[in-house]
Amino acid sequence: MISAQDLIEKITSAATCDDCIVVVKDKTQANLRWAASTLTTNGVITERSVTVIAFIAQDGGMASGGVTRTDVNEADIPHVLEQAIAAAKAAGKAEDFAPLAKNVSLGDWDARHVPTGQRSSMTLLQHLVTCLHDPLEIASNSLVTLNTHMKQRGLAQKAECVCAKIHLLVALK
Amino acid sequence: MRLRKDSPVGRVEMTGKSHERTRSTWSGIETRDFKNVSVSAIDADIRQRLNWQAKKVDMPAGRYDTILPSGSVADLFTYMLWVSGARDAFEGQSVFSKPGGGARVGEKLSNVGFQFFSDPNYAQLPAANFVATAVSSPFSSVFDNGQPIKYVDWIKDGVLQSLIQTRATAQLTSLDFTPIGENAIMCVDGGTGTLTDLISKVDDGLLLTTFWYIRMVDPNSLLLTGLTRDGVYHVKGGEVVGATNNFRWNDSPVSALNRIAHAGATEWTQPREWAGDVTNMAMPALVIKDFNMSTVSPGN
Repeated sequence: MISAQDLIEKITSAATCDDCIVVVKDKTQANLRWAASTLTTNGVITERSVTVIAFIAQDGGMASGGVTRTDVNEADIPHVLEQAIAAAKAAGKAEDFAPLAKNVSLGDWDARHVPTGQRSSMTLLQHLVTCLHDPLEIASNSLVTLNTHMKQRGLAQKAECVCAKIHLLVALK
Repeated sequence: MRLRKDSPVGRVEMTGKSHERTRSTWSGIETRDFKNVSVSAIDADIRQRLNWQAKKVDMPAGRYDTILPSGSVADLFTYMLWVSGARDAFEGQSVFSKPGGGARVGEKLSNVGFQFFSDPNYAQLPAANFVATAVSSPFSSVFDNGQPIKYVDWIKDGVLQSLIQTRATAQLTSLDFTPIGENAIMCVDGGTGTLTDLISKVDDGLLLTTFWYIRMVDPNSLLLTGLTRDGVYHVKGGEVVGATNNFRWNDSPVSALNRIAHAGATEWTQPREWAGDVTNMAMPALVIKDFNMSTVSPGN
């Protein structure tokens, strides 16, 4: 998958409208779920949301129009821009117009995206097991160990762990 | 403009059921790296509550002094934040509208030294210091992308200070530009101790575990309704004496602001109704006087 930074640069440099803002949210999430002390879910979710906002100058103000897609690849860029520009034209002069921020730079733009993933769910699991009352060996049977431990206590427990990482990137043409 | 923000967040939620599923309780914690998560502490909490449910007490509908854990406070006051748009207030559409026009900014809303603010530099709840929005809404404007988010007092010393603004609504309302932040912190002056400490201060009342299915009844008073679940307890003489039936409740967080009997220390908390949607909240547990449990809910 194209990096969010590359995608943003390609969209903003292709934009022919007066201004263009791109907002990309990359989210990765690891889920572990137990029901009645048995692991029922162990999954990793990857999500990307790309919003392209076109701005068009109009009688002392600006019109804006946005298009949000869950995934945009290089070949989609002209079409997405076209749709954002059409939306701005259809919307007419925006009543929330205010001058756009320029030359602002915050956060480490170039930093690599470090997703939550398989490794995180294993770390999570290991951590949970070590957190239980009795010190337990972390081994390939750790699931079984957790299971047994809870059953011994005669209680049906349902647990859910989620860890997510959201990378938000915003850029103006 | 090139802006970037990384937000790691995680949570652990645990539900415990026992005695043929006639007893049920829940516990949750928010985390960034799971280092603050003690499964044994959650486990102990759940066992204590299931034991409290050994004795069942039928309680009628009515107004009760009610102990809300910090997570329930977060669920309730998230709704207040969601209706804090300045434009809606000025257009007479919200609980923060002043009769005859304008907003209630400057009005005292609480009987205690109540503080409610957002702060991108709050150490425990790091938050974005810039606006990033994909849409224009009553709360946000695409034109404000990249504008700074700073510390903002929503309520200070019990007095309403600010409403959520875009630069356009700030001009419309002649108030400061105060965009919504990525965290919310509530403190009550003198608030100290844990949920257990609050229980010991209540002579006759209820202790909640969870608000559930929270919905709007009347936007003009921010009257909300919802259910309780996973354990409501009768508290007498500062001690839990048994579990009660569930209730449907009808009350307003804005009205509740003026009925605070006791408050605990502010702590990083895990909303339950809004779990996954709302993070980054630090709230105290509260005791609200005369909380309106409007009917008994037969659900277990």
